[in-house]
Amino acid sequence: MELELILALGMFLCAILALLAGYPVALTLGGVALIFGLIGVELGLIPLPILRNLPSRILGSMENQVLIAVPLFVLMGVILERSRVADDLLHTASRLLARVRGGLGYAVVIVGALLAASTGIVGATVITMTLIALPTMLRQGYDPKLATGTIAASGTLGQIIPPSIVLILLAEAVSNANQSAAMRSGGGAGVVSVGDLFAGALLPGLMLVGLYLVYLVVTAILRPSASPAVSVEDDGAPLTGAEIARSLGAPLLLIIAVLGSILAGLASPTEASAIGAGGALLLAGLRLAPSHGKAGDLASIWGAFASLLLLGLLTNTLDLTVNRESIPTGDMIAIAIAALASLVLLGGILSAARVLMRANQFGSALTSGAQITSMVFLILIGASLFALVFRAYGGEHYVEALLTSIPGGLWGALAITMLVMFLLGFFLDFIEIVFVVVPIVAPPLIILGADPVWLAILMALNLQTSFLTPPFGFALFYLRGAAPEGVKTIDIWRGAIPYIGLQLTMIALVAAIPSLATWLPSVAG
Amino acid sequence: METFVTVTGTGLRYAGYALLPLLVLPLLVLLLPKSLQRPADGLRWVLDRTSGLAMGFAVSAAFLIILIQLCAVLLRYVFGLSFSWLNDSVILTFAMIFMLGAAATLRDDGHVRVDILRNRFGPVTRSSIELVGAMAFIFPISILILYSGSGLIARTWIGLEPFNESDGLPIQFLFKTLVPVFAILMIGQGLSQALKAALIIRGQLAEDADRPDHGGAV
Repeated sequence: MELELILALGMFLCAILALLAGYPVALTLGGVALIFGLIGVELGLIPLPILRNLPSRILGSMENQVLIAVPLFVLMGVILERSRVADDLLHTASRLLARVRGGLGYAVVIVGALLAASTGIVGATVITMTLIALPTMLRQGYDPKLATGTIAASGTLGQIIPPSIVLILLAEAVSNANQSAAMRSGGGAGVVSVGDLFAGALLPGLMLVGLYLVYLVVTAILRPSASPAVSVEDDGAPLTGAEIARSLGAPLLLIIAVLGSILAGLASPTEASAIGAGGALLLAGLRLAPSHGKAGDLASIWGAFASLLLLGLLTNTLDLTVNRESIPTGDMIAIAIAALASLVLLGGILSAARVLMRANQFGSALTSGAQITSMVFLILIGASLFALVFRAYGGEHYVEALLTSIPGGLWGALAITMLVMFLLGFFLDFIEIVFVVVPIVAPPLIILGADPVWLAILMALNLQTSFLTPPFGFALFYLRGAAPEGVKTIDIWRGAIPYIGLQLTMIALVAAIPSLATWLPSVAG
Repeated sequence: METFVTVTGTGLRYAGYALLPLLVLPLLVLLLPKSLQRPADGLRWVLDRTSGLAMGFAVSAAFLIILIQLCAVLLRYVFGLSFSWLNDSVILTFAMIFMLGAAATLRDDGHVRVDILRNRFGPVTRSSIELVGAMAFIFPISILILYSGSGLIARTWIGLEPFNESDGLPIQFLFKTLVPVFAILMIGQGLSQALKAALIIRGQLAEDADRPDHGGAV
């Protein structure tokens, strides 16, 4: 065996052992990689400049437009959690479902799928769901295994339910692979667009939600103690329409606004995430104003909602563009009104912030948001150093050589590819996998007859499963980071196992029936 | 400008070399716990407060990013306006959150661990792992970042590099300076964690001594 291969494998092994010692994951990945990198430099296997790339890699993460959505979605989740808005949302959703045993579980999957759909970033989604749902579920006497498994699985849904960052990156990589496959085989090739993958992922994603719900129904019947009926309604008066509108309708509207604006192509995920965070502040202010607000705060917040409506109305009926040759008087007045409404909106957000400040939740929510963001990005930095060194040892060439020697045509190569990606998903973040593995493995697979969209959806489902699989699934790390200390890691791991089974079922279904992934894109366009 | 940057950079480098022996202080604490406890505690206090100060900026950036990105959205969708300096501000606040918040997150134990075995270790084992981790992982990574990023930072400072667009924010050089600042903060906090671990190993400090968190928003 070559020395490089031994060192690449040794780095993996050492990383596993070091991680088990319990030192922070991000620093362990980076530190082990650096030690093996320096060994490589000493032995003359790795040129030193590769290690010196780290600062520019860090700058790359700092400038990444797509990743800006991470802190904003984290803040949205933390603010909703601190102000009990999300608690209310889950409570009301579960009280509506309370007649059914395990209603809180269904509510979590549905609310979780909606949240997942609105972020599309596993780290942020899992953390948001853990902060919002886990304390409530544990308080209601849910089995911690079932609760954490449901949350982790619902969180990883963000990868497959559009709009998802993975799907955007995959679309780019698969489209390139498709063209290079066409060049090698001499045929023509169409472009695989982000829209194609969004449409292709919609059915499998919704079916996964269905599978999760079926699993929860079965659990509720077979093991009633694991998912008890919600006990709050014992003393409470029946839900009024106003209560439902306030605690369920408002946040749902926020989620739908965020999700809808991305799906309709109106806003980029980053822009939508800012709307989400601002909306979360407003909802939190509304929730806490009666107990902590001063006179005028509530009015200011309601004013912000009114301005929002007014702005929507004006923007859709009149042309408010400022940069043009001549502006008619009518538009001029409308622009002035819109400017005023914008100021009222921002004022409302500031009032909401003041209410939260007075409730002693503002600083702690922002601090917790900053901590979680730091945690996610330190992992990104550590993983990128790990990936740098792994590739410097030629790790991906060994993977490629392995793939080309597999018997069994498309299915054999596909099976091994999926397995390799699954294992790589433990250590490399999905951006690395998409940009390192897909360009290597996708062209041969497409030449062997795989449909690009089908292949991409299978890969996305596969990575989603990988992020859910103990001991190294990233979703589980994120969940561990945000879960209360009383929750045991082993319970988190055990809880994920049934959902891994459901994931594998879904992968088998899409593999067997490609039209699950390819039908909608062909209809859509 | 160029001489100023070069002189400052050289001065900083020698200051860095001069401070390097501080990184072995945790090992000296292992040897002489009694006599070094006071200075170690004092240094930890300063380092923890420094991380807290940086976290204060990170927290402010977390609020600002919401407001700035919302303004950008309003301006673009309602009035059809877009400004590069607004987008640059978003990028700057975004990077500030985690580049300045990572050290305090380390202090408050906010970075994810695999804790499957960790809970079964005693305080001495846990602290030994912390000490080794700081010395073998945090210091080398941070020194690598400082060492290999110095050229990048010198170039951006010499030109006082602005962001790319003509109406962009004129402080790209400050944005890039977040990289060495991050590394220095991590070294400082790593040193604080290592000192704490050494004191715990020698029985001069209870493991959860400063557990009550360092005052939320700083």
